[in-house]
Amino acid sequence: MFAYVIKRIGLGIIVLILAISTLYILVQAAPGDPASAMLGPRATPAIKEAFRERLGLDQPLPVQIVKYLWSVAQGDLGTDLKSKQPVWDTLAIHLPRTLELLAAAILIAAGLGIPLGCMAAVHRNSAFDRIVGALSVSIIAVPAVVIAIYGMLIFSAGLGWLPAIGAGEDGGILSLLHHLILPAIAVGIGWVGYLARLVRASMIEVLSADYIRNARAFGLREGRITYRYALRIAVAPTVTVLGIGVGIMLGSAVFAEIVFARPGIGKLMYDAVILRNYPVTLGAVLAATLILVVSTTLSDIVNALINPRFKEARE
Amino acid sequence: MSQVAAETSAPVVRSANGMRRLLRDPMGAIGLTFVVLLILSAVFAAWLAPYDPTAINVPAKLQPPSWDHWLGTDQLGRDVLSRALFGGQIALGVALVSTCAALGIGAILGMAAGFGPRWLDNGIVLVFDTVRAYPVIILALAVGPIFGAGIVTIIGILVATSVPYYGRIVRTSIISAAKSEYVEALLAMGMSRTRIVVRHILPNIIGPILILASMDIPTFIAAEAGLSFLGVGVKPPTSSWGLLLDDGYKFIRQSSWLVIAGSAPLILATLGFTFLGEALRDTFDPKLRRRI
Amino acid sequence: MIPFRNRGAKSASLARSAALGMALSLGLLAAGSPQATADPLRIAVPSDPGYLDPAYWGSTVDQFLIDNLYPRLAKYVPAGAEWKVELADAKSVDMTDPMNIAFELKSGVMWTGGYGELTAEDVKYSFERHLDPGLESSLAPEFSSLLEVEVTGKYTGIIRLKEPAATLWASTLVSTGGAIISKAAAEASDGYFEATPVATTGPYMLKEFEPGNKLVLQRNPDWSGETGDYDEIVLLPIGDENAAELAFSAGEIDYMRHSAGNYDTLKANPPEDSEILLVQSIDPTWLGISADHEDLKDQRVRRAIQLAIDVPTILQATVGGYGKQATGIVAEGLPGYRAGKELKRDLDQARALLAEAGAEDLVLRLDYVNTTERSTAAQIIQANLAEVGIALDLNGQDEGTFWSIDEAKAADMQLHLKAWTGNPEGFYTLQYFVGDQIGVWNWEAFQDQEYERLLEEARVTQDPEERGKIYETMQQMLEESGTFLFISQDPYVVLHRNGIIPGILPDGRPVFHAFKKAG
Repeated sequence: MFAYVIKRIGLGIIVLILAISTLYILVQAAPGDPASAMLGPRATPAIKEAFRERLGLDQPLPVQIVKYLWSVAQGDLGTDLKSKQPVWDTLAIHLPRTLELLAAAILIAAGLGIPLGCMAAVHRNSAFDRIVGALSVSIIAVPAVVIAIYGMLIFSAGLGWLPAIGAGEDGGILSLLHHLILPAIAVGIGWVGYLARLVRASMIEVLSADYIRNARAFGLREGRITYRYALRIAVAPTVTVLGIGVGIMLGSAVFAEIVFARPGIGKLMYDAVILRNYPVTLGAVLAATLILVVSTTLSDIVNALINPRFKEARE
Repeated sequence: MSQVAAETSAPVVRSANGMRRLLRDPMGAIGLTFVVLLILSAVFAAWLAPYDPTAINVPAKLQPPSWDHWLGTDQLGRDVLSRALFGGQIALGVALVSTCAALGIGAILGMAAGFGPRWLDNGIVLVFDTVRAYPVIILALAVGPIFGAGIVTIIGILVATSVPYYGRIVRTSIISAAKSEYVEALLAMGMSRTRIVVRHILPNIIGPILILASMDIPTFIAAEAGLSFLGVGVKPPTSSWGLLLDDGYKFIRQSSWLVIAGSAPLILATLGFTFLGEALRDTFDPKLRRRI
Repeated sequence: MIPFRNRGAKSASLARSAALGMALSLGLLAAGSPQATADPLRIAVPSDPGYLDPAYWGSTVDQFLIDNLYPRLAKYVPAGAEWKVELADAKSVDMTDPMNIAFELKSGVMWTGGYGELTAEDVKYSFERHLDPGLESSLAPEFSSLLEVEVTGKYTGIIRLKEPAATLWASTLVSTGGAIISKAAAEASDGYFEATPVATTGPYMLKEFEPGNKLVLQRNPDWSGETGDYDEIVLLPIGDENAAELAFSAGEIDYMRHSAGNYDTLKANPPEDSEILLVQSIDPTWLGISADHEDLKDQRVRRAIQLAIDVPTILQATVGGYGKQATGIVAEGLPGYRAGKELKRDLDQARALLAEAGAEDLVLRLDYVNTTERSTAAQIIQANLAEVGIALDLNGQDEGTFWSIDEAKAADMQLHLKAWTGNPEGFYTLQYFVGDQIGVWNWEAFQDQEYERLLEEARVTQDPEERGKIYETMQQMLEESGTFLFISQDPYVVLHRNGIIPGILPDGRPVFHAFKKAG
């Protein structure tokens, strides 16, 4: 098992290195002078010169990539062309907002999806089960951007209950939470249905397993069986699914952040793309890729720990 | 990461009375109806659209739905229904082309990896893992402007990021099939590997992969709309559901109709395709799991 | 937000202020509810600042931050519809000799960042640097009449002119171009700074700048002059005015400009706890058609584009019934307005001109600031030009990118839709359409010897009405060259929270310390 974990982490690192290198090549492929492309029209000759020197743009591509990777590894993501601060400082402002959003979305997804799935499994084939089933599929289908816009239409522009813009950083924890509700729902709601179905399916499987039947035979109360034993086992797959799902949640977060003008990686990237602020764009993609690689690696490891058969199934 | 792939073994499509069973499932019936209507409306958009989708009529701007304009008008007085119909061509076109291309390329790479030499397998899997390390929308947002916003760029990004998904499924299926006694017997009989793959393995896995692909269509439709909404996709005057959504969003306070009408085709399409995909899966291969 | 670009605000003299018959009045603004809005004051702005160096400023936000953060001899002050000028950081300015303007600064005006006191040396440095060719100041034309600034004492000096250009003082020096920067601070930063100025003065100073998120100003503790009611002012960059409206109606901002096309719907359905004002402006909006571009070199092609575009429809879509088709840079009611010269759409003639020029299957690019109002106009222009067989690629950009220009961009100008900040005096917009400004602010690449001669004539013509006559001819030349399609002087809507008395100039630019809490 230990060997697998090491192997999996190693693979994660290799994938990350390849992903960053590919991104670097893609940007290099942009028409025009790479320094101008990376730094934009506002860059002064001095900034361009420093950039060329740092990445050795006159050297062969592999050398450039190694240099770039090396500077990234040292935490040097270049300079934000707008603020003249290191890109890392800009990311440090926005990254927590996105992580907050992802965490809240996961909380909503798990907090609603797991109980719903659980109840659907217990009351299998009841009207409740069918309604949860139909709603799950419907909610999965609707794109996050549409949910974000409807949230805004109904709860901000219409009823005025929830804020339409920003993250409410200046107003304390309550303000932060207040601003988090709609974006988090936009990102997380689709996963409620997904998790409900997942939990329902694995609960049904677990509830019919031998040891649960044994527990019943020992006279344990049904509620205790369902929620203490079966659920604990049935929830495991949701952990790994959420880990993999972070990539899609990051995409949804882009829309939620733009619709609600909320600071975060997505909004930062969107603005940087419009402003042709390449160092920030690249930094944001790197951060997002890092989040995704870490979460998929972790979820694979967790999955392997929970379910030893899994790693063998890989090959 | 390979969760989906791991569950796609030993697939047999029982399609005898599948259609009847599909239609008996209310979800399947609704989904199929939506999808058929959408396809027809997109194909015949030019005949069905009551107006030229680009015809500007400013005095009639931002009107709520009426007999003249079933879905109302936008900020330039263009007929939203007509724009939605033509937007359907883009949405379905992008989804269809992306799915087919991703499926085709993915299948070829997956077969090469699954039946090829070990080094090729490792290489291809590494490429797959690398591509899947990028969050799709974020990658599109970053790379889109480099290659210029437009349909081709969108399709390119969707295909590039989806190939690994299909490739992995095909690869896993082939690896597990290759271990079967049946294939070992065929090999022992001296049949070539290519022939085994094409004649004996592929026909068995194509059904479930098609079902999975059908479940991906709403994802592609949503991605095109989302990227156009962000301004890195389809550009005006071409009509796109994402642009309709963008107009609706911009005028959300002036007219809630525009955002409701503008989002309706997108919602109906994603619902329709999802319902159909789920029903297909439930009917033919309940063990398949949706892509995440 | 209406992007606007100032080429030096103006009024003919200190004493004179142009009454422009605007709907805005202080009385109206004061009619707020007793519910005072709490600190900070949150203002929606179209973008982040780009360059807060007066020599390079480009966007709206650059402009009013420069106006609010740097000292100057005199400045415009909010006075309802009037362009009223008052002394600012000068104790006195003596204009009896039009060639030699003597000034005396107030003592004790301190620079932030420990750069000491504002002195006559700073004035000399700030004005004369625009004449340095190495600086490539975009304000060079406005200072072309300046000979030198002679320092006669710590606080006193004389601005010496080459010619009796009375308008230099009355417009350039009181507006953005007249901003004074700290010599010591500029030298300490190698004379190069962007969005974070090294030293400022005034009631407010920069507290923090988070690009794309907010810019916060706070009370300047060392300021002894007039102060504002608010301890903090937060500028929130929201590129699209409809997004800003949403934020406003959600209570997230307190003051914003909006396009006039929304006046009726806003009146019918006003955001809670707010005031809505319709304000006429003198900001000229036009479509620039670059004469330098390969496909646009033929004047007939440019004229065809002018004739193919349906300006009244654009106005109907963008500003509702509140806009009037412009006939030039100068707004109605001001000297130099070309009455009754609205260009009429003529598709047949446009097609004929294109056929004559042999221009077929043209594909052009239209640049504009990506606001709802501009992209609406851009889509109409796209549809109009499609009718004469010209395909238009729409290139909406954020405000900062749109206004920043480098060599590559200047060389590739095609069509662009834009507005500059208006001014009561036509001269200070018209002076930019000369050969020297090609690649700087003359994006149309308009060039005409006779035009430049008329410009010099206007510069030294003392009578405003006579100058106006010259401006009429000059604007006619701009139009006939095919490089300018005048669209409007856009009216706009101001939305503000009850309990705020906005301190704004007649064109809606905020003067931060003049924002007051009601009651």
